[in-house]
Amino acid sequence: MPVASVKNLTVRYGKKTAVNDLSAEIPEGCVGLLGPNGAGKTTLIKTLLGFVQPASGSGEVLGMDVASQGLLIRQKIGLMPEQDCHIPGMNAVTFVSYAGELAGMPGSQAMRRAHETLEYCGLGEARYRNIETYSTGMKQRIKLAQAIVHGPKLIFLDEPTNGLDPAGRDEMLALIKDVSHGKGINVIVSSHLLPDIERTCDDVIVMRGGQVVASDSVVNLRKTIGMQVEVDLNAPSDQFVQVMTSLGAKLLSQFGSKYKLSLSSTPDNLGKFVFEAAKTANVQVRGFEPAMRSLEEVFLEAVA
Amino acid sequence: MSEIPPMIPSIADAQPGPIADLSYRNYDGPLNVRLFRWWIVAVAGLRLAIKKKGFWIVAAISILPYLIIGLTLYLSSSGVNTTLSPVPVGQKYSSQFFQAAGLQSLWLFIIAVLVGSSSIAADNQANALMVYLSKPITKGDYLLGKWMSTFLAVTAVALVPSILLYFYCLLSFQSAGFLKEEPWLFLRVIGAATIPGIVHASLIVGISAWSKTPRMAGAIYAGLYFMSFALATMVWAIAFQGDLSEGVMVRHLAIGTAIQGVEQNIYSVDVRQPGMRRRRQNKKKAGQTGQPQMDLAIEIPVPNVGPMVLLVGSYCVVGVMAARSRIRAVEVVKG
Repeated sequence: MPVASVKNLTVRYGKKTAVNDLSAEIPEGCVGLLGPNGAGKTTLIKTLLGFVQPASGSGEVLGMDVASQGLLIRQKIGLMPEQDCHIPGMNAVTFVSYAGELAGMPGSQAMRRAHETLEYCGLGEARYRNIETYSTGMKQRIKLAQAIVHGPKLIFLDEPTNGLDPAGRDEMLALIKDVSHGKGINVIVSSHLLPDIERTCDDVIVMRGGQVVASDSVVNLRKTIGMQVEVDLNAPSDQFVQVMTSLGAKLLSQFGSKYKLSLSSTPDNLGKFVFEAAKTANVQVRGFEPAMRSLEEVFLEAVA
Repeated sequence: MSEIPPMIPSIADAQPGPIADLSYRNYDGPLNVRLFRWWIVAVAGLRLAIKKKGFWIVAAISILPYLIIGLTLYLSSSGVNTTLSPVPVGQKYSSQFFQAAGLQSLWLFIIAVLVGSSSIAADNQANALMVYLSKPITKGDYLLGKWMSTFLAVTAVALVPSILLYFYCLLSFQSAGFLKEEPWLFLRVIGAATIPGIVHASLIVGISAWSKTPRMAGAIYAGLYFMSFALATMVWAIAFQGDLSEGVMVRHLAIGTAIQGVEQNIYSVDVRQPGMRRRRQNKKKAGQTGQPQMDLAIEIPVPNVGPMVLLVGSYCVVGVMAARSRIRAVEVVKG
């Protein structure tokens, strides 16, 4: 069952059409929303949250109609916005507890959950500090904490690693990965950073010009057309390339002693095939694996 | 002989770790779409307001007019000659409460600026609207909550000293006909105490919603408050210099005097305004004749209730509508 779906959705800002007759289904799990600037990703999220009224079409989130059940939808979802946002004058625990109360939690439960969520997000030590004194990384974490305090079934993360240093980024991605796998929370991540999506998401939706241009699981999208193999030798060897070419393979790329080859047909035993070619070329094989496309290649191909 | 390593690691070797389970757990408790969602916003606003030191200082100062009036009443009842001027029967206490409310009005305005200017402007500054509106609350809930927090703060500061003075009068002046002469005074006190809260809250949330910073909102409201007073008083004084008791409505066009006009209607008392030109003339005459100075204060009648309510109501509607038109989760730029 999809967590969200839109049917013939069109959203206009004055004369500009941001989303044009979009139909898509967002599956369960962690889904990445990719696309160049102006592709309509944020507009899609805003429409699903009821912040923007569509010109035509319909949408559903967790089986509820976007147009008529906005309040119920917003109770079951969490939003981590892209820009810095907090309620001024509050410390972290008050802010997160307040967010829980706004979501409909009783006060005592909201306070208890606020402590738990802040511990989970790594802000346990700083929970009584005023949010205005937080670093960028801490502000990102508190945005996540306020989004998950009420135990939503779906969370929207808009550029969750914005402004984070490498260590902070790693920690945030680990948090997203943890929260979206085995915790019963579905996550939609909108990001420009393809490695982030690759690390955290199971499925990807690529948008361009307000329409979906590719949508599948990350594994399927990264699959290559035909059989491709990456071979790592002990040393560069032109002879190995010649042997492989004579067996019907085609060299795609070479980086040092690493070769990426496309095979004309899938051999019954890939290992035996590679090792025999290496033996003929008198080189050692350090490693080999079926080649996968990077998400960047998938993205560039989709939006080209 | 080599030492045999211990089979069980010592406590000192153990890695420190959290005692509590810090992993994420789902929340399965109640989640209600509450009818009074705005109350959560209002309570949070009030909590932030009472955290400000300035709020308590101004609130304490604003009690002084009621303290002075209470003291004056006590002294006059003890036979000491006070400045209490003779008033018609049935207005003795009402006029005292009205006078205290008038003296307190500036402090209530400051309370409104302290609490209300940051109500929405601070959220604009910190992008908090997106947090609010991504939760199950509507624009109306948010606005009502913000309005209510300012209203309650201002009204509480107005109401507490006036109720205390009322009870002091009730205990001390019952034999002087306190309840008999003015039986509806308690309701009048409550009614009059809510008017500044309603007007200030409505106007300041409107200005706050359109401001990027609380400071800007406060400055704009202060400018509007004092400028409107200066303009209305000037126009009234110039246009009706012959007889200032005429054209009372012009005087009440300003924010502060509009509030005063409604309060005057609620207490149903006449205002005694000192007439500067007459006083000067009187001094001259007194100098010539050697006669004692006469009381030449101008009696300003109670303004008509209909236009006053309409004026104050329109101020409130304009403020609230201005705020409502501005509150949105995301800025939509139409191209």
